[in-house]
Amino acid sequence: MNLLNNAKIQLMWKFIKKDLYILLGMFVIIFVLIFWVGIMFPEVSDNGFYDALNELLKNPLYEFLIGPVISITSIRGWIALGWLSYSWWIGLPLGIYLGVRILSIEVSQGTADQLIVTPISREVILLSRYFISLIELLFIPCASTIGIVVTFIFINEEIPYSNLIAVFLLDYFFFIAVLTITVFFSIILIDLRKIILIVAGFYFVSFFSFTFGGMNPDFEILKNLSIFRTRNVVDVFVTSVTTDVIPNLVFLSIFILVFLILSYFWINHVEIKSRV
Amino acid sequence: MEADKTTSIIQISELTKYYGKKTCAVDNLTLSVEPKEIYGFLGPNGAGKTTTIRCLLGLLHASSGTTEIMGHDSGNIPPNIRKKIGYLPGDSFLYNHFTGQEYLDFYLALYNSSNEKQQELIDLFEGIKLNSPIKTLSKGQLRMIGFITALQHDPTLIILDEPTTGLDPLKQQTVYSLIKKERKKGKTFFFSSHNLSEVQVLCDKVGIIRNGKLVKTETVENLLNVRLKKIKVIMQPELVPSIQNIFSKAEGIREVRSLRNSVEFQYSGDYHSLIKLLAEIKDIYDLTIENPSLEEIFLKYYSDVDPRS
Repeated sequence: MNLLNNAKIQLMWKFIKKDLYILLGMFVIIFVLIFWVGIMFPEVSDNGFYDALNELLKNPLYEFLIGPVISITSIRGWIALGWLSYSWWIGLPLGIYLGVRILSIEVSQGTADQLIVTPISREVILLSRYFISLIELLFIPCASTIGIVVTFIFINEEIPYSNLIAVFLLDYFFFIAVLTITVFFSIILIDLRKIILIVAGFYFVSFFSFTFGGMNPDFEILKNLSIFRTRNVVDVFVTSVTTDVIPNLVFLSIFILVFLILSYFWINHVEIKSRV
Repeated sequence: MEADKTTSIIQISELTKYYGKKTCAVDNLTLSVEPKEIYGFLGPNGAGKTTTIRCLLGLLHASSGTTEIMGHDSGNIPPNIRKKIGYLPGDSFLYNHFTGQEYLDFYLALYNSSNEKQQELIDLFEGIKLNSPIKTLSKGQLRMIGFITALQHDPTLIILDEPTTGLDPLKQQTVYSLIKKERKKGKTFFFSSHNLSEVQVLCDKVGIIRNGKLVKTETVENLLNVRLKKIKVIMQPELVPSIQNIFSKAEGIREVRSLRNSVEFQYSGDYHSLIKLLAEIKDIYDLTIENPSLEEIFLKYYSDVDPRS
């Protein structure tokens, strides 16, 4: 089978062309944000802000609310707990957008009819668009990584290369997981509002079960219920506990593969209902 | 009217399609289209034309029954057969971020075809702003781009859902002559319409659909030769009310209308009974008997099937 003939290249290129400026814009914003906050750290940490923060965290209520950012006493702490936590909130809408774009946006816009009757099979449409979405998703962890490296160089901090690779991979796989479950639910449901609700709900339950479980040893088991266990990335970055990386990547890979395979086999059963 | 399955380019057998559990869009519909035929699928909005076409193309799944194109089940049409199908959807929703030319080239690439036919069609539909973004184009322009998209890969079966909607009369004529020209080259057309005149001008065969049911399949010639006549009886004005009353009660007579000195009606019964009825009326000044238009025949089928209409 010809893996990349003209039709498939067209299918992918025309798809990415529309988003190129958005992705480049996101890349620049992420890079600038990391750099801007990062270079403030040496200055802020000298004026006693973190001592006051640690005092505040002795209160159980504050510990509950801002416990996850307890390690923000250095630029490494900020990047691990602050930035990387927030980068996942970028991954959620981006993953959902790229996922629904594969088919359900086209169905709701009425452009799917013409596409589906072409000689290109639905599976090829799915996979071509899925793989181009993987390339688009790469922009986010790339922007984060480049931003971190440049910032560390600028403030003369030692760059933790091995940890950066782990963070890059986990960040990226997390985005792919969001993309893949969105693709799956978009094929099952088609309706945009339902997809967003379900994927976002799925994400929030997972996110909070991990956060809550992580913060309360009594509910440690909740951690294991979380699909997005890549929040362990925080531990990876701060404490260099690299043993968590491989199991997490394996877990996420299986998760992604299962949902991709389900989508692949289900796409032929999708009804392309008329817009009007 | 059942065609041999092996020769039909389109074969729909007992197709039923429900939306949800209660809404029946297509009800036990059976039809076939032979190669090199122009088949008009006629019916008003909401009759089930688009649903039938979408089931035929595999966009929707039949609740029961089968739909086949060139001997292949609609749910499993191989790529080499898909390549021979051209489709114009009922509404022109195109990628807004493309220009017209980009859109056409995109689809040409998906069909892996040369652009000879594309250029021929662009020349035919002169005046399309192919270098403008699609979102800036008018409905008519979008329709023409849709038309070129459906035909530019030189398919042998062309399925058109209300093809001339949104086109001005000149462009409609262009479409008609194009369809006739393509048919001469051996192409088969299956198109839905509620425009009776275009069906009359173009089609070899017509299927009339109402509330999801195919109420009649006939050649246009036979349909026009149906035993339905428009009759006008001219008489003394003072006789008009009583004669109108007689006609209104007679069997086979419908659409009775009185004018100052005449009564008009449509008749679809036995001619001997009509002659007998007319013979009873004195002082007939004049009598005209005409064949009805396709539109009147269409309305007859609609009212025959469902008295509420």
